[in-house]
Amino acid sequence: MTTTVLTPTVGRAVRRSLFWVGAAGVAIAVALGLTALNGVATSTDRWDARSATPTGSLALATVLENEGIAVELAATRAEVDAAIDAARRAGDAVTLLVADGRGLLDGERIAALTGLADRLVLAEPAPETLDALDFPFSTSRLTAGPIDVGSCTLAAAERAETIDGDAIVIYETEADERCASDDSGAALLSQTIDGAEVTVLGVGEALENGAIDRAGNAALALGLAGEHPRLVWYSPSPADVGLVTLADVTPGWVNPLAWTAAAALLAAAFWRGRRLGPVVIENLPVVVKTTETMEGRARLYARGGARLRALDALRVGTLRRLSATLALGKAAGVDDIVAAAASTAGRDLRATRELLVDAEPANDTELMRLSESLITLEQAVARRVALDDDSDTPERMTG
Amino acid sequence: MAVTGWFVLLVALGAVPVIALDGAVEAGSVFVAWMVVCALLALLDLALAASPRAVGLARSTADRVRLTESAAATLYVTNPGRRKLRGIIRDAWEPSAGARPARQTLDVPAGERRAVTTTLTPWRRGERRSAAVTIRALGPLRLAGRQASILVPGTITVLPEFASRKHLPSRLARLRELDGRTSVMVRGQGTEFDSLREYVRGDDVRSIDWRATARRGGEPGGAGAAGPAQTLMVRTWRPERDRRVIVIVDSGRTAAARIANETRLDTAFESTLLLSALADRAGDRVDVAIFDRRVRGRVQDSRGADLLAKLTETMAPIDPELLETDWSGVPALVRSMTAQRSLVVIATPLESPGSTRSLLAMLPQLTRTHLVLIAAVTDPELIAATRDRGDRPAVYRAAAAERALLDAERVAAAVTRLGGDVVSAAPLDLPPAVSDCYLAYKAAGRL
Repeated sequence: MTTTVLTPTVGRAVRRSLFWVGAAGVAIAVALGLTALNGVATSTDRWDARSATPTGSLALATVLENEGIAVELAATRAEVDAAIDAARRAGDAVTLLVADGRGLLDGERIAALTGLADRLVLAEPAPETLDALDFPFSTSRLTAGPIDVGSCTLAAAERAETIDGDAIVIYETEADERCASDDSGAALLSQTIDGAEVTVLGVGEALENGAIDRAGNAALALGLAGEHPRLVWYSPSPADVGLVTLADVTPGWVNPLAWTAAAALLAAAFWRGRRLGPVVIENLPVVVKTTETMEGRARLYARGGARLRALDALRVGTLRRLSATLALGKAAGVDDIVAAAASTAGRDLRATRELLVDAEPANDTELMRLSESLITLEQAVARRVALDDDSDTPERMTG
Repeated sequence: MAVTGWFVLLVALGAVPVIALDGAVEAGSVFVAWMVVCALLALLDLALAASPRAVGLARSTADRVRLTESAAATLYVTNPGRRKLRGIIRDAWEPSAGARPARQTLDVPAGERRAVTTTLTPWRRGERRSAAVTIRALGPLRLAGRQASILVPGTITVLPEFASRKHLPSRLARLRELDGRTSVMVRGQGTEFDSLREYVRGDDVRSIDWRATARRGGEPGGAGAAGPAQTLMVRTWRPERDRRVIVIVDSGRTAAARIANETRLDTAFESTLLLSALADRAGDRVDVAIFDRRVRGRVQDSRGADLLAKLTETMAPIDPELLETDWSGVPALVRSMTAQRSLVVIATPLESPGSTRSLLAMLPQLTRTHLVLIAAVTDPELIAATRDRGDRPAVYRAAAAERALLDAERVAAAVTRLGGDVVSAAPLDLPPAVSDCYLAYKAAGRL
């Protein structure tokens, strides 16, 4: 017997799927290329020096590095200290930029930072934080730019001339130098504390990728951060301030365990999903229900309210059966059957004729009543005939 | 390519080292290492599995099986390779072939042959085939397997059930009563001269043939000295034989209708089989044609066991066509089957005057020369519907059912006017009813 193998060999299956594998490869390559070109958002934190999102600060950090400023990223206080120590050993002046995008640092921790670097720049600190420093009774409010800063004594601000932003923090407080001010507050404060300059930058947007190109923002940001040859960029992490995150408390095997479960699930899907041969197709003959025409006609009667027609059909059936029960033969007319039925069942002839021929139902209730009466009449006649036959039989036998 | 539950378990067991080795080794690399081990083991198992493509397959299936009965479909699996073939095999029959079990374990040592038997219990008439044989050969580790579907043609013909054969013994007894095998020797309608034989006590004196007795000679009165005793001769009679019965089964669109879980066509086949078996025993010739717009099946010039075998085989693959039956072709068809007067049984529903118009138009051509009997299936559901007057929709249904019954009766009356006879019954009662009609014709000598 010659046999044909229906399943393609591995080679043929591979050749057949070559196009789709190739297409998928091309699609993946295109996606990777686009990602490489556009960059990918790794973090959405504000002022993250490695983030290319509109609220990140990759632009500023990159420009500073290109300008020859050594930008040191620090996520913990220990790293800040190490970076500043390194700068001191090298004999370089250093700027410390506190870019606390998540608002993790409290006043105490920021106050502890004063005096470390030659200039401490605080990006949009909370007014309570300023209280802990030497800015008494601070309050703040938001305003929208642009703000003229050309008259500032701060060199960076003077160069910037104008700064712009959608939500500029205006601090109302006392300070040595208040700049970019309107009537009562200032967006740029500067004060010498412990021999080091502390600058409060209310225009946090000036550091962001999205707004750095507006008005003089870039000049201000570069002037503040690039004043000294070294910059320590301090973006504190939750662990730095003693906060415990979910990732800290989960053991290291949790993620690999989840991957294992996923792999087992995938294998199980393949195990149960692999069919043992193709599905067999069978052509089945058309099968029609015979009662469908009857049902259709019944619905037609009901919808059209064809009560008289329906009743007549029922009457014809009853008459046929009565004629058979009474053995009247095919020649018997309606009147004969009515008369015979009435006399057999012992009923009034007129009423029987009314039921079997004349009555016209005005509504469905009446139709149902008449149909019930027809059945009752049939049963009465049948019972009567059966009784007569029984009582007749002995007589015939004796006769 | 396929994997087993053991492979899934192996992958899931990776959880143990991932947790246990935490701290000593990085959990992520443990996971990767475990997956690599799993993949390598599966590939090794795959490489060690016997090839399902090289397997030799041969079939031994019963040619035919009667509906509702079971037949064995055996598959001989030869393993020509040098590795043991173990795994799962599936003989993929069509669903209505009722193959059990659907899949079986397979264990064929190298160079040996094993039989795999699937039991077929079909639940539908016709030709059932096996689409393919699928073998999944597992490796020695039972982790992964190679799979191939192989086309090994296999068919089985499912014959009509002939459930009505239970009515045959009683009808045959009736036939014997008609026949000369019981002591009915009176000349009458439907009997023909059979033979002359000597009188024995108990014979009807009216059947004595005096002329034959005289021709035989001898002394009347018996024990006289003049010669041997006079022997009385009687004539025997038997029912007419060698009549023709032609059955036309309508396989058009109306035959597709299902009544009481049986299509009209199946009921018609049952009636045909019972009538053919009976008429064949009675010595009549039976010809059958299944017809809608063309002749779908035809059995002629067969007798005895051959007749029933041919009939069931012809009927087996025929399903109703969704066509209006072309009745105008039937007289020519009957003429092509016989020239002499015959009993023509037409198995078709009589439903409404509209749908039977062409049948009624054709009928006079047949009744002119033949005795025509129309066997129609009635729906017991219609009768039941007329009795149900419970609520408003039920009353309308009853009216519609009465109307349908009236229509059928009018058509039957029209057939009778045109010289045909009508027998109608519920699906299970129709085959014996048709046979009874035939016996009545025979008894009355109308054949």
